[in-house]
Amino acid sequence: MDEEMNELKTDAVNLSYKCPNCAMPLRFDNEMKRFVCEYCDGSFLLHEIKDAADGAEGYNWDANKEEIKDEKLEGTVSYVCKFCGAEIVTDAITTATKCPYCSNVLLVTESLTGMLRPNKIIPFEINRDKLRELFNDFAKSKAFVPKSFINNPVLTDIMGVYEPFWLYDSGVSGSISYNATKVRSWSDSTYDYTETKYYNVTVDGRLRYVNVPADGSKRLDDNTMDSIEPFDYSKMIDFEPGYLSGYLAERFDVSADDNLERSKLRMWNSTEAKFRGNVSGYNSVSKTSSNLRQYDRDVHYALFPVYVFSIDYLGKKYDYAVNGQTGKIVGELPFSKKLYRIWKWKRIGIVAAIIYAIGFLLG
Amino acid sequence: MKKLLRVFWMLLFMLVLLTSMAAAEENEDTTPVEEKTKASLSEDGNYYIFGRMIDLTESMTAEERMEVNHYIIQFIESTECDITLYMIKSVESFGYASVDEFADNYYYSETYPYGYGEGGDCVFFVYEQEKNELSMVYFGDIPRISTWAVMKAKWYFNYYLRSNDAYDGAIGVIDRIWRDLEEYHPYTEPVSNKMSATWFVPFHDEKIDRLLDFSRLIPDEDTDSVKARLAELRRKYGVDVIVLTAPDSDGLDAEAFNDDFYDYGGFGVGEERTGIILFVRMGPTSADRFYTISTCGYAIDYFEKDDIEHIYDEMLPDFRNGRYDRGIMLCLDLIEKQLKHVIEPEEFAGVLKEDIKKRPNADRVVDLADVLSDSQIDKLETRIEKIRDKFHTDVLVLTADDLDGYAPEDYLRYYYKYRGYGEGDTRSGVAILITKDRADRGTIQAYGKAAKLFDEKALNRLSSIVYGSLTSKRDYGSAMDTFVRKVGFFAQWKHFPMQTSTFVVFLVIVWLIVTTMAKVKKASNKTISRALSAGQYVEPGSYVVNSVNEVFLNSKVTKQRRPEPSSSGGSSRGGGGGTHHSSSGTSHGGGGGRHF
Repeated sequence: MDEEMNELKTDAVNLSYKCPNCAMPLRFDNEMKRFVCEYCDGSFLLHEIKDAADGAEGYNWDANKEEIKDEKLEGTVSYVCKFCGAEIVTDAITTATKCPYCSNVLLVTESLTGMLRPNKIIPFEINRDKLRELFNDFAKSKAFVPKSFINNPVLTDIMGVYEPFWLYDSGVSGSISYNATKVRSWSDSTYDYTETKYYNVTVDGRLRYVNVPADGSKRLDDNTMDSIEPFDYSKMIDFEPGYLSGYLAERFDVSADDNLERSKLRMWNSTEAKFRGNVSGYNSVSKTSSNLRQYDRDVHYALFPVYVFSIDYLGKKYDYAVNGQTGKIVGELPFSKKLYRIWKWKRIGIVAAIIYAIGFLLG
Repeated sequence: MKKLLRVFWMLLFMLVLLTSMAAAEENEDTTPVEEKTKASLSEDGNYYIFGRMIDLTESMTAEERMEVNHYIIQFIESTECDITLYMIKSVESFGYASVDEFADNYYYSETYPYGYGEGGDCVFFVYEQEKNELSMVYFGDIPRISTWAVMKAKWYFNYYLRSNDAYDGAIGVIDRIWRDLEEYHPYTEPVSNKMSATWFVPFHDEKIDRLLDFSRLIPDEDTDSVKARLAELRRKYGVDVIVLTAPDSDGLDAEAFNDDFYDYGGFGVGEERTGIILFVRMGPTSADRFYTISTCGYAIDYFEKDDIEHIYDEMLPDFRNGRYDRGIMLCLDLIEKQLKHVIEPEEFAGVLKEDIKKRPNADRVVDLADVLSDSQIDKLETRIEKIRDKFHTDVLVLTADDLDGYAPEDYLRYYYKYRGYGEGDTRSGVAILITKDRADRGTIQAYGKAAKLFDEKALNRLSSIVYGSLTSKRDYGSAMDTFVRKVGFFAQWKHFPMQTSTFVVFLVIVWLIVTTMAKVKKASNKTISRALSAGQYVEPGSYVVNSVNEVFLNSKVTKQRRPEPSSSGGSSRGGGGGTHHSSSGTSHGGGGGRHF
């Protein structure tokens, strides 16, 4: 029995089983000894999954890549960071000496195979000076940031890097079912009455998502890249190598499939929210099942402008990422416990003094 | 011959004169009442007595007045005594200084022919609305009307007046007097012809007997000594002790009657009307005969239910054996014993009962040693009033030059306690006693809740401050001023409206709220999080709802019994622990009793 389970577990890890209902990734639940879909609460045995998988619609995103040329982009030079393995590309004119991710020396590698040619690019709009200004505002706008940090943030090694993003288009269609109730109450002289009517509501519909972004960089944290969204797509243009001038670009490496899950989750959540909006007029609504699928899928590869830098403060390194188009800054700021405490106790003191004074005056 | 004739005519004339005089004397006055009292024919053809029921306060309708007047006619015919009832705003509004003057004027005036028969007998009632007083003046030679009757008359009048039924009140008055005149009681003396019709009368005069022995249970030779004893009890303990014996309780339950009699009789010492009354109702059978005790004011506390029951039990043998006077004397002994037990030394209590003052408005500065000037006293009183208002703490400043041998602490405590000082249930307050010329004889005490505030440390501080001021300045006024000011100061600073524990709870709640706010503020610093929606990437116009399908499954109805409405609010009867209310609303203790 245990052997079987182990085997199953290994299988699951390798094959990334998808939920037969909603195609979201399954997780093996040790307690239930079943595969569980956390999205639609379905649970399955392995054979059920395999049966479903056989007939499942697979989608080979990579087929899209045929549109994306696998060649060495002319006029570009590739570098590799020995330290962290980052693969950087820039145009022939710009010399990249330091790895934008770990600040170590970059080595030029002519032997690298070409990178995929991006479909789109959003050029940088924020320059370095503006960035400094924006960062100051950012630091000032947050709470409990030590004064010394605000006054003198040392922004070193600011790198403007074009980061690879996958942009997914997909239609989502299907139906979601809910249990809903309508409650009515009334009274007579002896009793209070409550009538509860139970319903099953199913919403069937579809919608289309366009250019849902997902970070294609190995280097940068996916959540960070999520957080610097949104990018203004109206400024998105077709790619030309010339845009790389003066900036670095990370060599695209992550396969589209790998971050399909992230974008799918987003699409599923939004779809559910939309459908839920059509279930109204009830006292309570709860989802019972969800049966959604994707159709008409497409993927593009784009380079988006991102600043990456870090600040050393009191022995700790704080990393920041900035949306090179909109100037949105994300990252952890130093937290001053002292300022926090002062803020807290100042307010407690004031309120306590007011209470005391009121009590005093009222005598 | 001519001379003889002249004598004859003179004799004849004298005879006629004498006989007519005699005849006139013997002649019964048979003129109808109406004629005698100058009845006049009213427009509606009815006779009515001229002005016996005069209502200038508009408490009765014209019909009612007519009815009363008719009733009065019957009264006069039956009792051969005139009666009149004036309801006016006040005698002053007519320009008279007193009820006697007013009554005299109307009685003797030609226009108002009051008085029945030769003697012009008349019972003249005047009700002054502004003072809420019913007064009675006698004219003529009528048999004295008993206190009993007058009290009942007053009582009835007041009772009905309260329910806005002046008509029944007037009838009640007339009735009472009528009945009394019919059952002529020669041995009672009306003690006063002026009694107030209000039900809350602080009487302090000795005029009303405290021994009202209508059933004559006490032998004549003993009545004086009993009366003296009751007066002494009152003086010594500040408790009014009344003994009432009567042949009936006027149709009422004995206890209720007892309460009402006490209230309407205006007995009681001080504003609380402290007193105790023993009522013995006589009658032909054991079922009729009953005795009961009622207490009022502080006496409610002096005599607990058990104490009263004990007295009843002790009295029973004597009453059963017909030794009523012994029973009553025994009752008085037991009452005195209890009072001695609960009230502190008699000498002390006796000293003060002469000048009882109202409790909440009693002077808080009592300058028995006469060391403070009036202006100083006024200033102190003003300050004290503020302290009482703001901090619910009473302050008493007492100076004395002779403590009757008592230790200052005791003297002050007795004074404070038995003169009714203290705020709230715990009788919270601070008091100072200074004896003249002996600056080291004095004391500052705190009572009730104030004792928590003014603990030993605080009192010691206060003492040293005050005595310091006394010894250095020798001015009692400024020392007392310092005292009161310091008390106020202490009260303000130490008297936090909330207990420390409440404040701590508040603080904890504030801490929780502020900490949550701080956490929220800190959390807003977080800038990085995973994206969970793709809402902004929806292609406009691509959202199509094919169907929203509602399927009815089933329905369920639950019911819950509604809570019972609470029973109608209890009447204000029966206060806590054994007290009950008389018809006037005053609280009484005691009750119960024994048949004998």
